[in-house]
Amino acid sequence: MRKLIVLSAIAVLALASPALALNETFTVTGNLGVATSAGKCTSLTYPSLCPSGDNCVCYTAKKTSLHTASGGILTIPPGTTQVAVSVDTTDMTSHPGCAPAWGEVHYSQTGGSDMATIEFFASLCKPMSPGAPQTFSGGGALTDSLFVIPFFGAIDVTGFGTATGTYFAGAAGQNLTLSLTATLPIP
Amino acid sequence: MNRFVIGFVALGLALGATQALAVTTAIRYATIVGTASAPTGSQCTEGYANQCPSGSCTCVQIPSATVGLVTGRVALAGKGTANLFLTFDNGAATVSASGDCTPFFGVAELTTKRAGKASSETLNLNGVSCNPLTTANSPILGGFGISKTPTPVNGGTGFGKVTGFLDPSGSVSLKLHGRITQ
Repeated sequence: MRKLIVLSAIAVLALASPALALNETFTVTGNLGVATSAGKCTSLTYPSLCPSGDNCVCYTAKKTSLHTASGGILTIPPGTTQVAVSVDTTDMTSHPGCAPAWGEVHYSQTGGSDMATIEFFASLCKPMSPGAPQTFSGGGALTDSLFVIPFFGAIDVTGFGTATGTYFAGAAGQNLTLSLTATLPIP
Repeated sequence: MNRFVIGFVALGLALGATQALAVTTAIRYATIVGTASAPTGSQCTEGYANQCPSGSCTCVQIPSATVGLVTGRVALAGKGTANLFLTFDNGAATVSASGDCTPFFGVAELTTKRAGKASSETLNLNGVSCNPLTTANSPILGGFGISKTPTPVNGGTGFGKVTGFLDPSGSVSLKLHGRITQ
């Protein structure tokens, strides 16, 4: 009974704290490659911002997985993760160099209500040494989500942060790792 | 004997000249520190910064910034000054309830002295600036490349990453490192 009271008190305190925030790292992995359709990605909203007059190449990922790497209170149940990145090859900083990349990750839980949308903009740079991967350096936001969190129930969490990652062009298997380290205020 | 000495000296001079002109590729570093102007109402009109994919942009200038070295690292540009023009694409910001990250497209026009010689080159940059996260400063992450136009003078070729921050007083501090041939 005493334990229950203590747990309840913690829960009430947590709910009452307006400054409570989570620092979470969302990591998506998968096999990224050029989509079969030409031009920028149009299936998700943010990648479609790649300028229409430029040569934008759409990358999509297979065998994707989204999880939280920081071991916080957010857990991501099994679900479907869609990844789309439009890379603007017209506006590279140099040749070779770094291209603007407009990306979005959309996750929806299998058989449940959890969902998340991550938008990011990053500079996708060619490898800086032989055998090294291409790198993403940028930032983004968890623009929309619904997660069931212990003591809180189902809540809508948004947040923003840095987005970094690597991509081994042409490699089989998990050739993409992209992480969004975000601060998420809990309402 | 005289001929032998003259020949030896000539060979030495030739080798020295070759060494002075030797082109090497290395991971090189630079810093750029300056003070940002208040954002103006539209995109910058300078080179690579003259683009605004969403149509809703502002321009921030960082005039007469200081270009410096990173201790213990091979220099990217030597020491000197830079004028920066950064177009922030506010219409393409990734927005959350607590803050956002805004894409930028910029140029850094460097005028420096490298290896004892005057140097000028223009860097094209893209990346994001986010609202403050763990500190009061706004983090900056992205990439850069040395532009072919205008033609670098005593400069190099290559590209790399840029990290840094903008503090609340408007001070900008950037660190660049990349695979540069010069």
